[in-house]
Amino acid sequence: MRKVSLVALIGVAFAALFSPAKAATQVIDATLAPGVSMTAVPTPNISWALAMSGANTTSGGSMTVSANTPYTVTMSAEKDFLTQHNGTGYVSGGSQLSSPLTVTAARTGGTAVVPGVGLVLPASTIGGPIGTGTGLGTDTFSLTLSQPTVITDKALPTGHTYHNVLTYTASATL
Amino acid sequence: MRRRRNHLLVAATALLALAGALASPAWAQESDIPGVEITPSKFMHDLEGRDFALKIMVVNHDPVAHAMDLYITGLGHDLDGSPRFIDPAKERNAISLPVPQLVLGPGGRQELVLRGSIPAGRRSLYAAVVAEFQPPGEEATQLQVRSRVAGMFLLRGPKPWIKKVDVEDVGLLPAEEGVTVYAALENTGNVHVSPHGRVRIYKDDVLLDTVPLPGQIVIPGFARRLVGAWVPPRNLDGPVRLETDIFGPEGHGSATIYFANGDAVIPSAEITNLYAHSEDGHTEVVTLVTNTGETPLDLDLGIKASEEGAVVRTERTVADLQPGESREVIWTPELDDGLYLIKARATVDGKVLDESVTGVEVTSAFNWLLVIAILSLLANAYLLERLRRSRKARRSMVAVAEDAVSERLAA
Repeated sequence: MRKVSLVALIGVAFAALFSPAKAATQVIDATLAPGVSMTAVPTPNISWALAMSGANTTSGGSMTVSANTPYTVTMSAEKDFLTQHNGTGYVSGGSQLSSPLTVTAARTGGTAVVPGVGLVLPASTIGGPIGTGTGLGTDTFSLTLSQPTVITDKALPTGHTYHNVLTYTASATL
Repeated sequence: MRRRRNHLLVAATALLALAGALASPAWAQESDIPGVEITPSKFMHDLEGRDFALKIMVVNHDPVAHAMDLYITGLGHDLDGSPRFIDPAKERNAISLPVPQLVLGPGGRQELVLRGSIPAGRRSLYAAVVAEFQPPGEEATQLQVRSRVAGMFLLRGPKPWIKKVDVEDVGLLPAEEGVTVYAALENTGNVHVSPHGRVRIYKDDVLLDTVPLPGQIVIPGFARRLVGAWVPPRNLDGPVRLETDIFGPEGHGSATIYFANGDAVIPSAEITNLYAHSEDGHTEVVTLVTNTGETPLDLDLGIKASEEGAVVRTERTVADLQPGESREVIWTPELDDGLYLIKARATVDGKVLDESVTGVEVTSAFNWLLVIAILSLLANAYLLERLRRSRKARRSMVAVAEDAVSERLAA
């Protein structure tokens, strides 16, 4: 009986000796979810003086999209056409330009192995894709804004502007 | 010989290490991620029950702090599968956000747990969490810009699920090289599906080609085109039959397309604008449809307002449109208070050419007249009560005086 107890004691001692090595084992299960990141597109902080008639073009800044999954950037507008604004809100029954603003996204750089594709999109309340990519890197797009005007587009009183709000949304593809 | 090989190996390893060390700063710089991140950007899960708790992380990779608004939108898609973030939408009531705003410093990250429940009577939920931010210090000018990143949630709840698609249209679209063959499917079930398919192309009952249609996600209530590429034979002329088979779930559709000298005659229209607005209970839906093809169209534009998947109002406009011509339709549906999904669809002979969605919240006008009437009634009642009390008081004073006079007379 004593012998059995001694053997059991030695067994426990051995187990105690080896247990720290077992406790040091860590099982790591990491998940890497699909993620999409986008830089803030700058507001064109300029007084965009439109010509009375013809094409008007200005830079809309740039955006960089990073993703580890295929992505889409959509663009939609608050109004279908630039609309008369008095500085605090849209003027009820106010004027609007006759042609929609068009945004052109062109890829200018990035690290994505398969380069993303920039698109041309007229600003509208529906919106649509302005850029797509397969991800696994970054894509930088320059944005160019084009606003045609015609002679019938009405000049506005001082303090009023033709206004719109553009929303760019980056997400994974569906 | 072996020693020499070892020396070569050591030298090569050293060179690689040196190259790596030299290259690493540039690589590290290139791999830097700018902007605001939302993870996961797409989350698909089949739930055991109705309740859920979803963990998301918002990260600011920029060297400047960002203040951002967080909100929930509905999730849908257009015919090409481009996601639509429908705002306002009923889904915002199904998911609670722990915070509506977030400020993250450079490199800052915040984990958030979104709790919610698939509404009773529904088997799935399609929503998105959106983080909206702007560059710091920017002021509103003629063109204001908002930037957003979105995380999409496609959640299927308890069974029974109905997996069903209707093949609404089969056809061809112009492409840079050849044509794009498509089958437009509407998900008429109660959960999202990922069908795939094939299109067999016949000329005079002879199989010309079979085009595979890779699988795509289709959300219930929405339509999406499955597409494949095809280069038609040169000088193809006359009618060509397209037979489509869809799998997972199954569906079938067919169409006849006409060719002239190798070019397909393709009707094409686009819903370029869809805007819904409600003020004081008055709702207005404005949509613009354009014939973007090269043939005249006898176009059917249908608009539906639905609440909780049930169509409550519809509008139908038929328009003859020449190539390049547009038609604006203004619809003022009578809608009770609530959140509605507005869907516009352009069709020709049952062929779906375009579809678009938006959301609108209807709130009745605040009835100031009723409030004024109630307030005047209350005021009148108060004045009458005061008058009654003052008369009573006067009467009692007169009675006291009369008593006093009587007493004196008696004395």
